[in-house]
Amino acid sequence: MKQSRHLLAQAVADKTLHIKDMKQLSREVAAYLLHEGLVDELDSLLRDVIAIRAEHGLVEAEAVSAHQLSDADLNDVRAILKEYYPHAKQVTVHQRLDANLVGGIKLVMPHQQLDESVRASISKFKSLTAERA
Amino acid sequence: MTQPAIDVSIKELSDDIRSAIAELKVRPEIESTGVVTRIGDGVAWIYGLTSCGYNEMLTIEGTGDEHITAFAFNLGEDEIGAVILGDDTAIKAGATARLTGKVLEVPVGPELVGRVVNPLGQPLDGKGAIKASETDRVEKVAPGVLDRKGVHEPLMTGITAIDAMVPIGRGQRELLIGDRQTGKTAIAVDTMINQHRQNTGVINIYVAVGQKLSKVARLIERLKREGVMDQTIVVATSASDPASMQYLAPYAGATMGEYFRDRGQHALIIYDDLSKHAAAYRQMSLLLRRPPGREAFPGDVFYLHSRLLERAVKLSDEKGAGSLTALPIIETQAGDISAYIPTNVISITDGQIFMETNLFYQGIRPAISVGLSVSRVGGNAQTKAVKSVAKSLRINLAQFRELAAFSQFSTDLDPETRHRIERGQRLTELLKQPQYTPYSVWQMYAILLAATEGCFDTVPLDKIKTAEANLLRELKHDHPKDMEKVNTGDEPDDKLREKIVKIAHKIAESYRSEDKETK
Repeated sequence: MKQSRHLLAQAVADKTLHIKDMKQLSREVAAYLLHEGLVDELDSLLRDVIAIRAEHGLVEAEAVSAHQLSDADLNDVRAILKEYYPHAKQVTVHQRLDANLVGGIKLVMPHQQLDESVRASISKFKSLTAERA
Repeated sequence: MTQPAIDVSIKELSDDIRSAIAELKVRPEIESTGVVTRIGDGVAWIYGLTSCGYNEMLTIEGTGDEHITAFAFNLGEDEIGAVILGDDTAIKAGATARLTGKVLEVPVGPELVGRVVNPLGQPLDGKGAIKASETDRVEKVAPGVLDRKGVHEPLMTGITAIDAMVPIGRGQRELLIGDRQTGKTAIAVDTMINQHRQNTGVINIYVAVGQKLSKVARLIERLKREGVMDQTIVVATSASDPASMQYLAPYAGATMGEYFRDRGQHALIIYDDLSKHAAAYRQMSLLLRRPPGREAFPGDVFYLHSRLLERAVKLSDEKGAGSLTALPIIETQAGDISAYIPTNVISITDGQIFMETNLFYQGIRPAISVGLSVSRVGGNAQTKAVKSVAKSLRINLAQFRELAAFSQFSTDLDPETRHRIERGQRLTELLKQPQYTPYSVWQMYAILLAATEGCFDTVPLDKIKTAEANLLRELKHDHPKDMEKVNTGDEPDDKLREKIVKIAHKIAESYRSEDKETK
């Protein structure tokens, strides 16, 4: 019977909280996914793992922006995340560049998103004026 | 320089822009989002959105700045199966999906009357936006037992065979079932035309599910020509529309009809046809990996139609006494009414009108099989006038059918048998009716009275329709006030009956004299 992805993610997240050798864990997870034919679900599995770790106070988010963020910008992003996750013990921010955003920043977490990019504002502006039309 | 757009007010545009900017100034908050992991065949599988409700509307970011609407149809532990409403080619894996917090709603109200719309209430007729002030949910629970009243008011179709033998009442569900090209839609169209001709005030809703667009266009053209479009809403989906739209169309139409029902008005809804609706639902269910059952339909295909048809009701006086009458259409294959979907819908509805292919090709149109057709509401939904003359019609025709087969093998028939056969032939001939010519109550009464009193027994078979036309012409021309009285539906008195019978006999006599002269 196919293992529930959520249960699998729970097991992996638990291991990441206690294990020291991440490479060993990666090999074990990869082997399991190959054996069960679940390689396509890797992205979803990792999102689940991030979400479960966030419940334990280890918040990870992806900061997407059109331009490279400075250290000060990253500190601001961490401060925003701490506002939304007051019980967070550790906040990790990964950067990704996407010129399509034009400006501003988009924070992406497994089940949530905070989009303050210029592109989102333009898109919302278009939809608001289209509704009224 | 291009022509400026008409009706553009810069002041309004300026106000719109300012209020849009004001909304944008509010700081965005963290929102629940999901990610599309797989997309194809009109279905998007979405990771996340753990608080999503069943049938909740979602928006998915497409390429460019499009936002494509979908609704959650499969709520799994690990992912959501969402059915896309519209073009799924704009969505790619990795796209962000958001909840809207709403279930699917459509605009409702009198603003939709006279319009052709899709199941989302968007106009298809090029007459501009529909400025409906209200919306309502597409999926709604049907009224309970205490909110209902028994069907007791007639919904006149204008088709003699139906109003006499298989009468339909307001709030009833009467199934139109038969093979392709047997006149099912024609009956539905004539019923709509009759609502206009008789000024009944009934609002028509015609739901085209997966029909050829050419057929829908022809139908709309005919409705416009007959002046019926002014009291009709057309909800159209073509065969090339996604299965999701074909699935939603009947429910959207029912919601539009319920607006009038719940406000003390009467509405008639035609689902053309539910066979295609079931096929669209099967397609969606299989793509969503739901377990297939009999004929590959999902296990809840009965519920698909039962929850739709239960919304056609006659409401109690306390609830406004409005009604929604449903005429669902089912297409059979080779006359098989014992197949899966036909039997499902037959068991849900309050009767069926069965159209037979061989009757159609014999020239008996409408090709109604009197033996297999039934109305479970019966005489309660009949005007007293028609009821008084239609009592013996069914049995006369049943006897004729039995004897007709027998008579092919025997030339030596007793007078009684021969009389029954001749009477049956004349009844059959009189029940034939051209398309787009629904009869009013007085016309039906006069025809049936003449037939059942034997007035036309001596008229040659090929002259029956002419005799009928002459009778109606004379009654309309010489006795308009009497016919108006009959048209109210009350049973005419004996004096009026005798008058009509006398006129019918006189007309029949003229054909007998003609016949003698030719001989």
